[in-house]
Amino acid sequence: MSAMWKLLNNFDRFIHRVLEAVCALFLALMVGFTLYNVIMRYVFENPPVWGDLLTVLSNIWLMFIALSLTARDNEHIALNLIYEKLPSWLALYIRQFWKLMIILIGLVMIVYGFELVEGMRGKYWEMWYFEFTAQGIEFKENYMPKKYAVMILPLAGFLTTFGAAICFFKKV
Amino acid sequence: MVSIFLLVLLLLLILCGAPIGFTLILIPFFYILVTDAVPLVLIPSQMFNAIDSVPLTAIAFFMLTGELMTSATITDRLVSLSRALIGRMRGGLAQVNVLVSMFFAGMNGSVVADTATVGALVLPAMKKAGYPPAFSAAVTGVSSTIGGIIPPSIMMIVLANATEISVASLFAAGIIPGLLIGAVIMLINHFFAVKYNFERSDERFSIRRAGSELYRSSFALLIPVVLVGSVMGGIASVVEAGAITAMVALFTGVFVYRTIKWKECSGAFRRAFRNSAMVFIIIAASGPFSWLLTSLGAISDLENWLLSLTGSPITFILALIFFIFLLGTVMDSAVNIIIVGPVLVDVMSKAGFPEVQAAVVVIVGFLIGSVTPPVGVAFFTAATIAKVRLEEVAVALIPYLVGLFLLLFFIIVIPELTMFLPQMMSE
Repeated sequence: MSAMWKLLNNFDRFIHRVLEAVCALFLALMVGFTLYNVIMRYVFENPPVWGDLLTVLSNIWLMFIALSLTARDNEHIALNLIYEKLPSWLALYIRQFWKLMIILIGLVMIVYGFELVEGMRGKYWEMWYFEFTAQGIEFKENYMPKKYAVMILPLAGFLTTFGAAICFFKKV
Repeated sequence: MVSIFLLVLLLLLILCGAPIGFTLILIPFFYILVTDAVPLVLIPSQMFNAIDSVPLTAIAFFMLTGELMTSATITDRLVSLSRALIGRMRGGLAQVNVLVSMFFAGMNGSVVADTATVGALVLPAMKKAGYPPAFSAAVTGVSSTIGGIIPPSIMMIVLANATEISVASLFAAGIIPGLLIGAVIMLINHFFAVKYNFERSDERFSIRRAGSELYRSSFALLIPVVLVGSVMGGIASVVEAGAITAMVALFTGVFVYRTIKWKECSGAFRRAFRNSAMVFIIIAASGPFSWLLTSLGAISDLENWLLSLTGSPITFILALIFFIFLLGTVMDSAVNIIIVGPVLVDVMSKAGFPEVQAAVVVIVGFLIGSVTPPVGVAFFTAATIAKVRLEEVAVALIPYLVGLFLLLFFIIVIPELTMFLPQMMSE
Protein backbone atom coordinates (compact mmCIF):
# COMPACT_ATOMS: atom_id res chain seq x y z
CA MET A 1 0.00 0.00 0.00
CA SER A 2 2.78 2.37 1.00
CA ALA A 3 4.66 1.51 -2.22
CA MET A 4 1.53 2.32 -4.18
CA TRP A 5 1.15 5.62 -2.31
CA LYS A 6 4.81 6.45 -2.95
CA LEU A 7 4.39 5.73 -6.65
CA LEU A 8 1.31 7.94 -6.82
CA ASN A 9 3.16 10.67 -4.94
CA ASN A 10 6.06 10.56 -7.38
CA PHE A 11 3.68 10.60 -10.32
CA ASP A 12 1.86 13.60 -8.81
CA ARG A 13 5.14 15.46 -8.31
CA PHE A 14 6.20 14.68 -11.88
CA ILE A 15 2.88 15.82 -13.36
CA HIS A 16 2.96 18.96 -11.21
CA ARG A 17 6.42 19.93 -12.46
CA VAL A 18 5.61 19.14 -16.07
CA LEU A 19 2.38 21.17 -15.96
CA GLU A 20 4.14 24.13 -14.34
CA ALA A 21 6.81 24.03 -17.02
CA VAL A 22 4.18 23.77 -19.76
CA CYS A 23 2.26 26.75 -18.36
CA ALA A 24 5.39 28.89 -18.03
CA LEU A 25 6.32 27.95 -21.59
CA PHE A 26 2.85 28.87 -22.87
CA LEU A 27 3.05 32.26 -21.14
CA ALA A 28 6.52 32.94 -22.53
CA LEU A 29 5.36 31.87 -26.01
CA MET A 30 2.33 34.16 -25.75
CA VAL A 31 4.62 37.11 -25.02
CA GLY A 32 6.84 35.96 -27.89
CA PHE A 33 3.99 35.58 -30.42
CA THR A 34 2.62 39.00 -29.54
CA LEU A 35 5.98 40.74 -29.80
CA TYR A 36 6.62 38.93 -33.10
CA ASN A 37 3.28 40.28 -34.31
CA VAL A 38 4.24 43.86 -33.34
CA ILE A 39 7.67 43.59 -34.97
CA MET A 40 6.25 42.07 -38.15
CA ARG A 41 3.66 44.83 -38.36
CA TYR A 42 5.89 47.83 -37.69
CA VAL A 43 9.27 46.71 -38.99
CA PHE A 44 8.38 44.40 -41.89
CA GLU A 45 4.82 45.66 -42.52
CA ASN A 46 3.75 42.04 -42.88
CA PRO A 47 1.91 40.85 -39.74
CA PRO A 48 0.99 37.16 -39.70
CA VAL A 49 -2.76 36.51 -40.03
CA TRP A 50 -2.60 33.90 -37.29
CA GLY A 51 -0.92 36.22 -34.74
CA ASP A 52 -3.92 37.07 -32.53
CA LEU A 53 -5.56 33.66 -32.86
CA LEU A 54 -2.45 31.77 -31.79
CA THR A 55 -2.11 34.02 -28.72
CA VAL A 56 -5.78 33.53 -27.79
CA LEU A 57 -5.63 29.76 -28.20
CA SER A 58 -2.41 29.60 -26.18
CA ASN A 59 -4.09 31.67 -23.47
CA ILE A 60 -7.11 29.33 -23.37
CA TRP A 61 -4.92 26.23 -23.13
CA LEU A 62 -2.70 27.90 -20.54
CA MET A 63 -5.63 28.92 -18.36
CA PHE A 64 -7.33 25.53 -18.45
CA ILE A 65 -4.08 23.74 -17.59
CA ALA A 66 -3.28 26.26 -14.84
CA LEU A 67 -6.81 25.68 -13.53
CA SER A 68 -5.91 22.06 -12.83
CA LEU A 69 -2.82 23.24 -10.93
CA THR A 70 -4.93 25.53 -8.74
CA ALA A 71 -7.27 22.57 -8.11
CA ARG A 72 -4.28 20.41 -7.17
CA ASP A 73 -2.87 23.02 -4.76
CA ASN A 74 -6.27 24.12 -3.43
CA GLU A 75 -5.72 27.74 -4.50
CA HIS A 76 -9.06 29.39 -5.18
CA ILE A 77 -10.74 32.74 -4.75
CA ALA A 78 -12.91 31.90 -1.74
CA LEU A 79 -13.85 33.25 1.66
CA ASN A 80 -11.68 31.33 4.07
CA LEU A 81 -12.99 33.16 7.09
CA ILE A 82 -15.52 30.46 7.95
CA TYR A 83 -12.80 27.81 8.22
CA GLU A 84 -11.06 29.81 10.93
CA LYS A 85 -14.27 30.08 12.97
CA LEU A 86 -15.29 26.41 12.75
CA PRO A 87 -13.85 23.46 14.70
CA SER A 88 -10.94 22.05 12.72
CA TRP A 89 -12.63 18.68 12.01
CA LEU A 90 -15.71 20.41 10.57
CA ALA A 91 -13.60 22.82 8.54
CA LEU A 92 -11.75 19.81 7.11
CA TYR A 93 -15.04 18.08 6.17
CA ILE A 94 -16.26 21.19 4.38
CA ARG A 95 -12.99 21.63 2.52
CA GLN A 96 -13.06 17.97 1.49
CA PHE A 97 -16.64 18.37 0.30
CA TRP A 98 -15.62 21.22 -2.03
CA LYS A 99 -12.81 19.09 -3.42
CA LEU A 100 -15.36 16.40 -4.29
CA MET A 101 -17.41 19.05 -6.05
CA ILE A 102 -14.34 20.08 -8.05
CA ILE A 103 -13.83 16.42 -9.00
CA LEU A 104 -17.45 16.40 -10.18
CA ILE A 105 -16.83 19.47 -12.36
CA GLY A 106 -13.71 17.81 -13.73
CA LEU A 107 -15.79 14.76 -14.68
CA VAL A 108 -18.39 17.01 -16.34
CA MET A 109 -15.60 18.61 -18.35
CA ILE A 110 -14.31 15.19 -19.43
CA VAL A 111 -17.67 13.69 -20.44
CA TYR A 112 -19.31 16.73 -22.02
CA GLY A 113 -16.00 18.13 -23.22
CA PHE A 114 -15.57 15.00 -25.36
CA GLU A 115 -19.11 15.43 -26.62
CA LEU A 116 -18.28 19.02 -27.55
CA VAL A 117 -15.10 17.97 -29.37
CA GLU A 118 -16.98 15.31 -31.32
CA GLY A 119 -19.75 17.70 -32.32
CA MET A 120 -17.51 20.69 -33.04
CA ARG A 121 -17.69 21.84 -36.63
CA GLY A 122 -15.89 24.69 -38.36
CA LYS A 123 -12.30 25.67 -38.97
CA TYR A 124 -9.99 28.57 -38.27
CA TRP A 125 -9.11 29.62 -41.82
CA GLU A 126 -6.09 31.64 -40.66
CA MET A 127 -4.47 28.98 -38.48
CA TRP A 128 -1.80 26.48 -39.50
CA TYR A 129 -1.56 23.07 -37.86
CA PHE A 130 0.05 19.67 -38.00
CA GLU A 131 -1.85 16.59 -39.10
CA PHE A 132 -0.89 13.08 -38.16
CA THR A 133 -1.38 10.84 -41.17
CA ALA A 134 -0.23 7.39 -42.20
CA GLN A 135 2.62 9.10 -44.06
CA GLY A 136 3.79 10.89 -40.92
CA ILE A 137 3.33 14.43 -39.58
CA GLU A 138 2.11 16.81 -42.23
CA PHE A 139 2.15 20.62 -41.99
CA LYS A 140 -1.07 22.33 -43.12
CA GLU A 141 -0.93 26.03 -43.89
CA ASN A 142 -4.46 26.92 -42.75
CA TYR A 143 -7.98 25.74 -41.89
CA MET A 144 -7.22 24.23 -38.49
CA PRO A 145 -10.32 22.34 -37.26
CA LYS A 146 -11.90 24.07 -34.25
CA LYS A 147 -12.16 20.74 -32.47
CA TYR A 148 -8.38 20.88 -31.90
CA ALA A 149 -8.85 24.03 -29.83
CA VAL A 150 -11.66 22.64 -27.65
CA MET A 151 -9.74 19.43 -26.99
CA ILE A 152 -8.34 21.24 -23.97
CA LEU A 153 -11.70 20.85 -22.20
CA PRO A 154 -11.64 17.06 -21.65
CA LEU A 155 -7.88 17.22 -21.09
CA ALA A 156 -8.25 19.95 -18.45
CA GLY A 157 -11.17 17.99 -16.98
CA PHE A 158 -8.92 14.96 -16.54
CA LEU A 159 -6.09 17.03 -15.03
CA THR A 160 -8.51 18.89 -12.72
CA THR A 161 -10.09 15.64 -11.55
CA PHE A 162 -6.68 14.13 -10.94
CA GLY A 163 -5.42 17.26 -9.16
CA ALA A 164 -8.49 17.60 -6.96
CA ALA A 165 -8.36 13.87 -6.11
CA ILE A 166 -4.72 14.18 -5.04
CA CYS A 167 -5.65 17.28 -3.05
CA PHE A 168 -8.51 15.31 -1.44
CA PHE A 169 -6.37 12.34 -0.43
CA LYS A 170 -3.46 14.47 0.75
CA LYS A 171 -5.88 16.80 2.57
CA VAL A 172 -3.97 19.81 1.20
CA MET B 1 -38.46 33.47 -7.97
CA VAL B 2 -36.12 30.67 -9.08
CA SER B 3 -33.43 33.18 -9.97
CA ILE B 4 -33.67 34.84 -6.53
CA PHE B 5 -33.40 31.42 -4.89
CA LEU B 6 -30.32 30.59 -6.98
CA LEU B 7 -28.66 33.93 -6.21
CA VAL B 8 -29.30 33.47 -2.47
CA LEU B 9 -27.91 29.94 -2.78
CA LEU B 10 -24.81 31.30 -4.51
CA LEU B 11 -24.35 33.86 -1.77
CA LEU B 12 -24.74 31.25 0.96
CA LEU B 13 -22.29 28.90 -0.72
CA ILE B 14 -19.76 31.71 -1.09
CA LEU B 15 -20.16 32.57 2.59
CA CYS B 16 -19.63 28.89 3.37
CA GLY B 17 -16.18 29.09 1.82
CA ALA B 18 -17.01 27.56 -1.56
CA PRO B 19 -14.48 28.20 -4.33
CA ILE B 20 -16.32 31.00 -6.19
CA GLY B 21 -15.37 29.98 -9.72
CA PHE B 22 -16.38 26.34 -9.35
CA THR B 23 -19.61 27.29 -7.56
CA LEU B 24 -20.63 29.40 -10.55
CA ILE B 25 -20.35 26.22 -12.64
CA LEU B 26 -22.01 23.90 -10.13
CA ILE B 27 -25.25 25.91 -9.90
CA PRO B 28 -26.08 25.84 -13.65
CA PHE B 29 -24.89 22.22 -13.79
CA PHE B 30 -27.36 21.08 -11.12
CA TYR B 31 -30.09 23.29 -12.60
CA ILE B 32 -29.70 21.65 -16.01
CA LEU B 33 -29.44 18.21 -14.41
CA VAL B 34 -32.72 18.71 -12.54
CA THR B 35 -34.73 20.54 -15.21
CA ASP B 36 -33.19 18.95 -18.31
CA ALA B 37 -33.62 22.39 -19.90
CA VAL B 38 -30.71 22.06 -22.36
CA PRO B 39 -28.01 19.49 -23.10
CA LEU B 40 -25.24 19.47 -20.49
CA VAL B 41 -22.68 20.04 -23.21
CA LEU B 42 -23.64 23.71 -22.80
CA ILE B 43 -21.49 23.90 -19.63
CA PRO B 44 -18.05 23.29 -21.23
CA SER B 45 -19.15 25.08 -24.38
CA GLN B 46 -20.07 28.27 -22.49
CA MET B 47 -16.89 28.04 -20.41
CA PHE B 48 -14.78 27.91 -23.56
CA ASN B 49 -16.66 30.74 -25.27
CA ALA B 50 -16.38 32.98 -22.20
CA ILE B 51 -12.58 33.05 -22.40
CA ASP B 52 -12.24 32.82 -26.17
CA SER B 53 -11.42 36.50 -26.61
CA VAL B 54 -8.38 38.48 -27.72
CA PRO B 55 -8.48 41.34 -25.14
CA LEU B 56 -8.64 38.88 -22.22
CA THR B 57 -5.17 37.66 -23.18
CA ALA B 58 -3.81 40.92 -21.79
CA ILE B 59 -4.72 39.82 -18.24
CA ALA B 60 -1.90 37.26 -18.09
CA PHE B 61 0.53 39.86 -19.45
CA PHE B 62 -0.38 42.45 -16.82
CA MET B 63 -0.19 39.85 -14.07
CA LEU B 64 3.27 38.93 -15.38
CA THR B 65 4.34 42.59 -15.48
CA GLY B 66 3.22 43.06 -11.86
CA GLU B 67 5.01 39.93 -10.71
CA LEU B 68 8.21 40.85 -12.54
CA MET B 69 8.13 44.34 -11.06
CA THR B 70 7.67 42.89 -7.58
CA SER B 71 10.53 40.44 -8.16
CA ALA B 72 12.67 43.33 -9.31
CA THR B 73 12.08 45.01 -5.91
CA ILE B 74 10.51 47.94 -7.72
CA THR B 75 8.04 48.41 -4.91
CA ASP B 76 10.85 49.21 -2.45
CA ARG B 77 12.03 51.95 -4.78
CA LEU B 78 8.51 53.31 -5.09
CA VAL B 79 8.19 53.41 -1.29
CA SER B 80 11.50 55.33 -1.05
CA LEU B 81 10.34 57.73 -3.76
CA SER B 82 7.00 58.30 -2.07
CA ARG B 83 8.71 58.88 1.29
CA ALA B 84 11.02 61.43 -0.30
CA LEU B 85 8.06 63.22 -1.88
CA ILE B 86 5.49 63.27 0.90
CA GLY B 87 7.02 61.58 3.94
CA ARG B 88 7.43 64.94 5.66
CA MET B 89 3.65 65.46 5.80
CA ARG B 90 1.85 64.64 9.06
CA GLY B 91 0.77 61.02 8.74
CA GLY B 92 3.43 60.68 6.06
CA LEU B 93 3.48 56.87 6.03
CA ALA B 94 -0.29 56.66 5.54
CA GLN B 95 0.06 59.02 2.58
CA VAL B 96 3.01 57.01 1.26
CA ASN B 97 0.76 53.94 1.37
CA VAL B 98 -1.70 55.67 -0.97
CA LEU B 99 0.91 57.16 -3.28
CA VAL B 100 2.69 53.80 -3.70
CA SER B 101 -0.67 52.24 -4.60
CA MET B 102 -1.14 54.93 -7.22
CA PHE B 103 2.31 54.30 -8.72
CA PHE B 104 1.87 50.54 -8.44
CA ALA B 105 -1.54 50.76 -10.13
CA GLY B 106 0.20 51.88 -13.29
CA MET B 107 2.16 48.64 -13.39
CA ASN B 108 -0.21 46.02 -12.14
CA GLY B 109 -3.98 46.21 -12.38
CA SER B 110 -5.08 43.87 -9.65
CA VAL B 111 -6.57 44.99 -6.35
CA VAL B 112 -5.39 41.91 -4.44
CA ALA B 113 -1.83 42.15 -5.77
CA ASP B 114 -1.78 45.80 -4.75
CA THR B 115 -3.06 45.10 -1.23
CA ALA B 116 -0.65 42.22 -0.69
CA THR B 117 2.44 43.85 -2.17
CA VAL B 118 2.05 47.38 -0.82
CA GLY B 119 0.65 46.10 2.48
CA ALA B 120 3.58 43.76 3.06
CA LEU B 121 6.00 46.65 2.56
CA VAL B 122 4.29 49.59 4.23
CA LEU B 123 2.27 47.99 7.05
CA PRO B 124 5.29 46.92 9.16
CA ALA B 125 6.68 50.46 8.91
CA MET B 126 3.29 51.95 9.89
CA LYS B 127 3.08 49.61 12.86
CA LYS B 128 6.57 50.60 13.97
CA ALA B 129 5.63 54.27 13.68
CA GLY B 130 2.69 53.78 16.04
CA TYR B 131 -0.29 53.88 13.68
CA PRO B 132 -3.35 51.97 14.94
CA PRO B 133 -3.22 48.60 13.08
CA ALA B 134 -6.90 48.79 12.07
CA PHE B 135 -6.34 52.25 10.56
CA SER B 136 -3.27 51.00 8.66
CA ALA B 137 -5.19 47.99 7.30
CA ALA B 138 -8.10 50.21 6.27
CA VAL B 139 -5.80 52.62 4.39
CA THR B 140 -4.01 49.72 2.66
CA GLY B 141 -7.24 48.04 1.62
CA VAL B 142 -9.01 51.13 0.45
CA SER B 143 -6.04 52.54 -1.47
CA SER B 144 -5.59 49.26 -3.32
CA THR B 145 -8.88 49.89 -5.16
CA ILE B 146 -6.91 52.43 -7.20
CA GLY B 147 -5.00 49.46 -8.65
CA GLY B 148 -8.09 48.40 -10.57
CA ILE B 149 -8.93 51.88 -11.82
CA ILE B 150 -5.72 53.57 -12.96
CA PRO B 151 -4.67 51.72 -16.15
CA PRO B 152 -3.82 48.96 -16.74
CA SER B 153 -6.86 47.46 -15.08
CA ILE B 154 -7.69 43.79 -15.38
CA MET B 155 -11.35 44.38 -14.59
CA MET B 156 -11.56 47.10 -17.25
CA ILE B 157 -10.32 44.58 -19.81
CA VAL B 158 -12.92 42.05 -18.63
CA LEU B 159 -15.79 44.55 -18.73
CA ALA B 160 -14.69 46.06 -22.03
CA ASN B 161 -14.66 42.57 -23.48
CA ALA B 162 -18.18 41.83 -22.24
CA THR B 163 -19.65 45.16 -23.36
CA GLU B 164 -17.60 45.66 -26.53
CA ILE B 165 -16.34 49.04 -25.36
CA SER B 166 -12.84 50.11 -26.45
CA VAL B 167 -10.27 49.19 -23.80
CA ALA B 168 -8.20 52.25 -24.72
CA SER B 169 -11.18 54.56 -24.00
CA LEU B 170 -11.82 52.83 -20.70
CA PHE B 171 -8.18 53.09 -19.70
CA ALA B 172 -8.24 56.81 -20.51
CA ALA B 173 -11.51 57.28 -18.63
CA GLY B 174 -10.11 55.60 -15.51
CA ILE B 175 -7.18 57.97 -15.01
CA ILE B 176 -9.00 60.98 -13.48
CA PRO B 177 -11.31 58.90 -11.19
CA GLY B 178 -8.24 56.89 -10.07
CA LEU B 179 -6.35 60.06 -9.16
CA LEU B 180 -9.43 61.50 -7.43
CA ILE B 181 -9.83 58.36 -5.32
CA GLY B 182 -6.21 58.75 -4.26
CA ALA B 183 -6.84 62.40 -3.40
CA VAL B 184 -9.98 61.60 -1.35
CA ILE B 185 -8.16 58.91 0.64
CA MET B 186 -5.23 61.24 1.27
CA LEU B 187 -7.59 63.97 2.42
CA ILE B 188 -9.23 61.66 4.95
CA ASN B 189 -5.78 60.42 6.01
CA HIS B 190 -4.72 64.01 6.60
CA PHE B 191 -7.78 64.66 8.75
CA PHE B 192 -6.97 61.68 10.99
CA ALA B 193 -3.24 62.45 10.99
CA VAL B 194 -3.88 65.94 12.36
CA LYS B 195 -6.57 64.76 14.77
CA TYR B 196 -4.46 61.95 16.28
CA ASN B 197 -1.09 63.63 15.77
CA PHE B 198 0.41 60.82 13.66
CA GLU B 199 4.14 60.72 12.91
CA ARG B 200 5.98 62.54 10.17
CA SER B 201 9.44 61.96 8.75
CA ASP B 202 12.34 63.66 10.51
CA GLU B 203 13.99 64.34 7.20
CA ARG B 204 13.05 67.63 5.58
CA PHE B 205 11.86 67.62 1.98
CA SER B 206 14.79 68.01 -0.34
CA ILE B 207 14.58 68.39 -4.09
CA ARG B 208 17.94 66.65 -4.40
CA ARG B 209 16.77 63.57 -2.51
CA ALA B 210 13.44 63.50 -4.35
CA GLY B 211 15.31 63.83 -7.67
CA SER B 212 17.69 61.03 -6.75
CA GLU B 213 14.82 58.72 -5.75
CA LEU B 214 12.98 59.66 -8.93
CA TYR B 215 16.07 58.69 -10.90
CA ARG B 216 16.30 55.33 -9.05
CA SER B 217 12.66 54.58 -9.93
CA SER B 218 12.68 56.10 -13.40
CA PHE B 219 12.70 52.80 -15.31
CA ALA B 220 9.84 51.48 -13.18
CA LEU B 221 7.84 54.64 -13.78
CA LEU B 222 8.52 54.31 -17.48
CA ILE B 223 6.32 51.22 -17.62
CA PRO B 224 2.94 52.91 -17.13
CA VAL B 225 4.03 55.63 -19.55
CA VAL B 226 4.90 53.04 -22.23
CA LEU B 227 1.67 51.21 -21.57
CA VAL B 228 -0.76 54.11 -21.48
CA GLY B 229 1.06 55.94 -24.26
CA SER B 230 1.04 52.98 -26.64
CA VAL B 231 -2.61 52.04 -26.01
CA MET B 232 -4.03 55.55 -25.97
CA GLY B 233 -1.83 56.66 -28.85
CA GLY B 234 -3.19 53.81 -30.96
CA ILE B 235 0.31 52.41 -31.48
CA ALA B 236 -0.46 49.04 -29.95
CA SER B 237 -3.52 47.09 -28.89
CA VAL B 238 -4.00 46.41 -25.19
CA VAL B 239 -2.67 42.86 -25.66
CA GLU B 240 0.41 44.06 -27.49
CA ALA B 241 0.97 46.77 -24.88
CA GLY B 242 0.71 44.08 -22.19
CA ALA B 243 3.38 41.97 -23.86
CA ILE B 244 5.62 45.01 -24.41
CA THR B 245 5.36 46.11 -20.76
CA ALA B 246 6.08 42.57 -19.57
CA MET B 247 9.19 42.61 -21.75
CA VAL B 248 10.21 46.07 -20.46
CA ALA B 249 9.68 44.86 -16.86
CA LEU B 250 11.85 41.81 -17.51
CA PHE B 251 14.53 43.94 -19.16
CA THR B 252 14.44 46.43 -16.27
CA GLY B 253 14.74 43.69 -13.65
CA VAL B 254 17.48 41.72 -15.42
CA PHE B 255 19.67 44.40 -16.97
CA VAL B 256 18.94 47.71 -15.22
CA TYR B 257 18.27 46.85 -11.57
CA ARG B 258 19.91 43.40 -11.85
CA THR B 259 17.61 41.98 -9.21
CA ILE B 260 15.94 39.35 -11.38
CA LYS B 261 17.82 36.10 -11.79
CA TRP B 262 16.51 32.79 -13.18
CA LYS B 263 14.86 31.87 -9.85
CA GLU B 264 12.97 35.19 -9.56
CA CYS B 265 12.01 35.05 -13.22
CA SER B 266 10.56 31.53 -13.05
CA GLY B 267 8.80 32.43 -9.79
CA ALA B 268 7.23 35.49 -11.42
CA PHE B 269 6.00 33.41 -14.37
CA ARG B 270 4.59 30.76 -12.00
CA ARG B 271 2.72 33.29 -9.85
CA ALA B 272 1.48 35.14 -12.93
CA PHE B 273 -0.21 32.14 -14.54
CA ARG B 274 -1.57 30.86 -11.24
CA ASN B 275 -3.10 34.23 -10.33
CA SER B 276 -4.44 34.62 -13.86
CA ALA B 277 -6.01 31.15 -13.68
CA MET B 278 -7.86 32.12 -10.49
CA VAL B 279 -9.40 35.09 -12.34
CA PHE B 280 -10.02 33.09 -15.52
CA ILE B 281 -11.97 30.36 -13.75
CA ILE B 282 -14.45 33.06 -12.69
CA ILE B 283 -14.58 34.44 -16.25
CA ALA B 284 -15.05 30.93 -17.69
CA ALA B 285 -17.68 30.10 -15.08
CA SER B 286 -19.54 33.33 -15.79
CA GLY B 287 -20.44 31.79 -19.19
CA PRO B 288 -22.80 29.05 -17.89
CA PHE B 289 -23.93 31.19 -14.92
CA SER B 290 -24.84 34.18 -17.11
CA TRP B 291 -26.66 31.82 -19.46
CA LEU B 292 -28.68 30.59 -16.48
CA LEU B 293 -29.54 34.09 -15.27
CA THR B 294 -30.52 35.15 -18.79
CA SER B 295 -32.66 32.09 -19.43
CA LEU B 296 -34.47 32.57 -16.11
CA GLY B 297 -35.20 36.19 -17.00
CA ALA B 298 -33.22 37.55 -14.03
CA ILE B 299 -31.12 39.83 -16.20
CA SER B 300 -34.14 41.37 -17.96
CA ASP B 301 -35.99 41.72 -14.61
CA LEU B 302 -33.06 43.64 -13.17
CA GLU B 303 -32.84 45.81 -16.28
CA ASN B 304 -36.56 46.58 -16.19
CA TRP B 305 -36.49 47.40 -12.47
CA LEU B 306 -33.59 49.82 -12.85
CA LEU B 307 -35.03 51.37 -15.99
CA SER B 308 -38.35 51.94 -14.20
CA LEU B 309 -36.48 54.34 -11.90
CA THR B 310 -35.10 56.53 -14.68
CA GLY B 311 -38.11 58.89 -14.47
CA SER B 312 -36.30 60.73 -11.69
CA PRO B 313 -32.55 60.99 -12.41
CA ILE B 314 -31.63 61.46 -8.74
CA THR B 315 -33.66 58.41 -7.67
CA PHE B 316 -32.04 56.39 -10.45
CA ILE B 317 -28.52 57.46 -9.42
CA LEU B 318 -29.13 56.82 -5.73
CA ALA B 319 -30.74 53.44 -6.46
CA LEU B 320 -27.81 52.54 -8.68
CA ILE B 321 -25.26 53.47 -6.00
CA PHE B 322 -27.24 51.60 -3.35
CA PHE B 323 -27.50 48.54 -5.60
CA ILE B 324 -23.75 48.60 -6.31
CA PHE B 325 -23.03 49.07 -2.60
CA LEU B 326 -25.36 46.23 -1.62
CA LEU B 327 -23.86 43.80 -4.11
CA GLY B 328 -20.37 44.93 -3.11
CA THR B 329 -21.00 44.05 0.51
CA VAL B 330 -22.02 40.47 -0.21
CA MET B 331 -20.30 39.42 -3.43
CA ASP B 332 -16.79 39.40 -4.75
CA SER B 333 -16.00 42.37 -6.99
CA ALA B 334 -14.78 40.16 -9.84
CA VAL B 335 -18.07 38.23 -9.90
CA ASN B 336 -20.05 41.47 -9.75
CA ILE B 337 -18.14 43.09 -12.60
CA ILE B 338 -18.20 40.00 -14.81
CA ILE B 339 -21.84 39.02 -14.29
CA VAL B 340 -23.77 42.14 -13.24
CA GLY B 341 -21.43 44.75 -14.77
CA PRO B 342 -22.57 44.40 -18.42
CA VAL B 343 -26.23 44.69 -17.35
CA LEU B 344 -25.60 47.89 -15.40
CA VAL B 345 -23.61 49.40 -18.28
CA ASP B 346 -26.51 48.60 -20.61
CA VAL B 347 -29.08 50.09 -18.22
CA MET B 348 -27.04 53.27 -17.69
CA SER B 349 -26.50 53.65 -21.39
CA LYS B 350 -30.27 53.29 -22.00
CA ALA B 351 -30.77 55.91 -19.27
CA GLY B 352 -28.68 58.34 -21.31
CA PHE B 353 -25.19 57.99 -19.85
CA PRO B 354 -22.22 57.49 -22.21
CA GLU B 355 -21.20 53.81 -22.24
CA VAL B 356 -17.61 54.56 -21.22
CA GLN B 357 -18.76 56.60 -18.22
CA ALA B 358 -21.19 53.83 -17.26
CA ALA B 359 -18.41 51.25 -17.40
CA VAL B 360 -16.13 53.36 -15.20
CA VAL B 361 -18.96 53.87 -12.68
CA VAL B 362 -19.51 50.11 -12.54
CA ILE B 363 -15.81 49.39 -12.11
CA VAL B 364 -15.22 52.07 -9.46
CA GLY B 365 -18.39 51.05 -7.58
CA PHE B 366 -17.66 47.34 -7.55
CA LEU B 367 -13.98 47.83 -6.76
CA ILE B 368 -14.98 49.88 -3.73
CA GLY B 369 -17.00 46.72 -3.01
CA SER B 370 -13.74 44.79 -2.70
CA VAL B 371 -13.16 46.57 0.61
CA THR B 372 -16.74 46.74 1.87
CA PRO B 373 -17.38 44.30 4.73
CA PRO B 374 -18.45 41.57 5.23
CA VAL B 375 -17.25 40.21 1.87
CA GLY B 376 -14.28 41.83 0.16
CA VAL B 377 -10.97 40.37 -0.93
CA ALA B 378 -8.96 43.54 -0.30
CA PHE B 379 -10.65 43.89 3.10
CA PHE B 380 -9.62 40.32 4.06
CA THR B 381 -6.13 40.60 2.62
CA ALA B 382 -5.36 43.88 4.40
CA ALA B 383 -6.72 42.63 7.73
CA THR B 384 -4.71 39.40 7.41
CA ILE B 385 -1.43 41.17 6.63
CA ALA B 386 -1.97 43.71 9.43
CA LYS B 387 -3.05 40.89 11.80
CA VAL B 388 -6.11 42.81 12.98
CA ARG B 389 -9.64 41.64 13.70
CA LEU B 390 -12.00 42.14 10.76
CA GLU B 391 -14.52 44.03 12.91
CA GLU B 392 -11.93 46.65 13.85
CA VAL B 393 -10.91 47.15 10.21
CA ALA B 394 -14.59 47.40 9.23
CA VAL B 395 -15.08 50.31 11.66
CA ALA B 396 -11.90 52.05 10.49
CA LEU B 397 -13.10 51.74 6.89
CA ILE B 398 -16.36 53.67 7.42
CA PRO B 399 -15.10 57.24 6.76
CA TYR B 400 -13.22 56.09 3.66
CA LEU B 401 -16.23 54.26 2.26
CA VAL B 402 -18.44 57.31 2.83
CA GLY B 403 -15.87 59.45 1.01
CA LEU B 404 -15.54 57.01 -1.90
CA PHE B 405 -19.29 56.56 -2.40
CA LEU B 406 -19.67 60.35 -2.38
CA LEU B 407 -17.00 60.50 -5.05
CA LEU B 408 -18.84 57.80 -7.02
CA PHE B 409 -21.93 60.02 -6.91
CA PHE B 410 -19.91 62.89 -8.42
CA ILE B 411 -18.41 60.59 -11.05
CA ILE B 412 -21.97 59.78 -12.13
CA VAL B 413 -23.30 63.36 -12.13
CA ILE B 414 -20.22 64.99 -13.69
CA PRO B 415 -19.54 63.11 -16.96
CA GLU B 416 -16.43 65.22 -17.67
CA LEU B 417 -14.58 63.43 -14.87
CA THR B 418 -14.62 60.27 -16.96
CA MET B 419 -15.23 61.50 -20.50
CA PHE B 420 -12.68 64.33 -20.72
CA LEU B 421 -9.65 62.17 -21.55
CA PRO B 422 -11.38 59.69 -23.92
CA GLN B 423 -12.90 62.63 -25.83
CA MET B 424 -9.54 64.37 -26.00
CA MET B 425 -7.99 61.13 -27.21
CA SER B 426 -10.58 60.67 -29.98
CA GLU B 427 -10.04 64.25 -31.16
